[in-house]
Amino acid sequence: MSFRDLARSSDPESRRSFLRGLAASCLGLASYPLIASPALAAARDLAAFGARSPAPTATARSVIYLYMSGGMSHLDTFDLKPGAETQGPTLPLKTAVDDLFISSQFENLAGLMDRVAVINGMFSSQGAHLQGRYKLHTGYDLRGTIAHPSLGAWLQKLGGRLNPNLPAHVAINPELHTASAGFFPSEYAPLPIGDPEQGLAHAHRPESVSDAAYQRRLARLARMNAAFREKYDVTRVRDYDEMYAQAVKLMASRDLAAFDLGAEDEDLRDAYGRNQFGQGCLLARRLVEHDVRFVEVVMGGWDTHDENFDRMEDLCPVLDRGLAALLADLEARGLLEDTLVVLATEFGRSPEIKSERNGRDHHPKAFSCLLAGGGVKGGVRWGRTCERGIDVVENRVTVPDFNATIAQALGLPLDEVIHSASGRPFTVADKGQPVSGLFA
Amino acid sequence: MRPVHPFAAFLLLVAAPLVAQEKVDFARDVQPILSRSCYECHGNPATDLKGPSKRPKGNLRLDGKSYMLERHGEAVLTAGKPASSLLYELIALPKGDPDLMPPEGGPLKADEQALIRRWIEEGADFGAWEGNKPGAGQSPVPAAAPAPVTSSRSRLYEELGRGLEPLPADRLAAAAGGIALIEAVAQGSGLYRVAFSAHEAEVDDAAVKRLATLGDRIVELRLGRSRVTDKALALIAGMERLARLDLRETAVGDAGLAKLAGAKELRYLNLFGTKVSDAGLPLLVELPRLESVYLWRTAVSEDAVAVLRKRLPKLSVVTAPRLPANDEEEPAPRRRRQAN
Repeated sequence: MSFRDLARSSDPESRRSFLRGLAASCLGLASYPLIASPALAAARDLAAFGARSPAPTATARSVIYLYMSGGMSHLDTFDLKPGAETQGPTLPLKTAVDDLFISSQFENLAGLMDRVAVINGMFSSQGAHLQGRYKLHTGYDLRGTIAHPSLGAWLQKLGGRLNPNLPAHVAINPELHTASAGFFPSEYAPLPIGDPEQGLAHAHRPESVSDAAYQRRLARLARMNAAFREKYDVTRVRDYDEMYAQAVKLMASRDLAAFDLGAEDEDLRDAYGRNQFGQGCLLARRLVEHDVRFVEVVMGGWDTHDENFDRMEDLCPVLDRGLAALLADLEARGLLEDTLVVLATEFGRSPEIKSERNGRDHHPKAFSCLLAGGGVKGGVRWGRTCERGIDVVENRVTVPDFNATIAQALGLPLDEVIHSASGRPFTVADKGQPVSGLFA
Repeated sequence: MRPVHPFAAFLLLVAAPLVAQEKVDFARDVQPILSRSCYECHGNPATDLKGPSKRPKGNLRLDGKSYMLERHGEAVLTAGKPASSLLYELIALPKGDPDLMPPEGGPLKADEQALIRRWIEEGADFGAWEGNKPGAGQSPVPAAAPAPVTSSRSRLYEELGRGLEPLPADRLAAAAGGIALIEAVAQGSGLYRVAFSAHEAEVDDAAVKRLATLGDRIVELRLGRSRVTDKALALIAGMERLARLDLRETAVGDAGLAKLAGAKELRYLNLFGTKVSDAGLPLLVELPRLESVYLWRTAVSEDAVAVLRKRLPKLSVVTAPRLPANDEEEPAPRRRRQAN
């Protein structure tokens, strides 16, 4: 009989699943129960209260990573080519920065571009969605023999947690091959949030159960498990206990409020946009305020093979509102100086417009990403594509270089090698070099 | 295929080890295989390697004994144990495995694999062969190490921390009091940043008093959402290298601000959601290096902000954000489509 079977047979299922659900969602056990042994790493996080020593001087403590899934067209967003036959009907808009024009869909963002570094020289080696997404998140190519950790997991591994009550790493609206723990133990996996409006599900004690009754039940659970625990004193059983303990701790913590969008003004919620992405950005800000270190917010729908220009009219305003509100709100709270906001995507879209579908296909050899805050210079463009937007002709930034730049801002040691279970060596951004010109 | 007579099969079984008695000679039997199939990627950067970077792949070289005895996470060679030797493990992976070596030109022939296996089993003896040695035959132009990336913050902390040694761990732990997270600002630096994540509710003036024992070593102090009061600001003003102070959403007000006057290195001051009012603003003039101050959700009036901006034109005075207007209809997507 397994630990879980034993637990199931001895207490009402509802309570059990509630606790287990919380443990799982807090600590990344949801999809991979009992396969990892995170006790050591957890100990490292908890021991963090005291002294630690990162490598370079961090300019950012936290990252909000906005991921445009599907491949965001560079020509129709942040790398316009007015007058080129590849531009199509997208119109340029003047911004707060001289000579920097962005799509006219970005009305709110235009006034904030002096806070943003636009990287027009992005280059990826991967032209398919899963592979490209994996490459952006991990810095490595997707392979059959190893699962690489994504940036948030690396940050937790090399930089530790700031808030011991909350997960270090949260993924809002996650998709396959976005954030993941890779070969790190499961507690480095992001806490998935499927719907920002819902926040963290199952995290509250039912009103019908008093705190005293709840404590009695936990004590009873501990007593019932004691014999089993003694008999099977192995890491995996202890890990499960540790996860229950962490979950119970979080339930009692006032940090739980970080997940509650209901605490925000209605006007502010409107400003971010009443949609999954906008509310995800707002939730990300709340989590960063509570010292969650890495929050990813995924926005899908950018795979515009068909009717590219119509769909830009739907997509860009959602991005515009969410990102502009996020930057303005973070800045006004004094958080933008320490929070790196990243806008990333797996690749750009072909400058050639497919006339029969009025769309654009995948284009990994030139695309655009953004960085803002966290010690990065605002109002700069880095890298340049040719006059039709096909090739990078100046300051190419590969995906590992991009990830190394993020890691550098976070003060992570780029050369610290972590070995997989089979002894293979990996680093946070593979062999990428940070773009020094982007740091203020 | 003709069936093998049972006795013939028996003969083959006993005879094979007898035939194999002769020991594998590395230089004669193994090295030519490596030279043909491996050196193009794992050879001498100056002569064997293709491509512009001229760097052995995986930093692994097989063109010299000393290189082959280096570990690469796992041992390349473990005498007597082919299964613990990357050199054998990676050539013997199943066909189609992305890690199978060599990656191009197909796997090594079965008899070549067996030969390498036997050589390792017999003790991985190189005989007199040494091959290339470190230091000899290197690429004529060694790649220059990239210059370390700096930022205005790293340069400031370098300057402020010059000549300071890291503090002993017990002193840091005492100052942390079990609730503060104290980190050196960079590896080997004697300057520290302090935060109280998750313990804000326990942080009061006494906690700041404990921290004050680190005195001039604290450059970043985060007290946001904590229970510190104006009293603590006198202690904080004594932290003479303090560059960044976060007091957001605390009860700190004008009286506290007045005590900060001595903080001569202060660059960043977060007063978001505090009790600071117009009366406190003129005190900011006493902070000579202040670069940014955050005043949203305080009692400070627009007029007072205008006066401050006029008086300190270089200071970034941040107040309410300009958020996207809500006058339009909801910009939600008209239709939803999934990626892929």
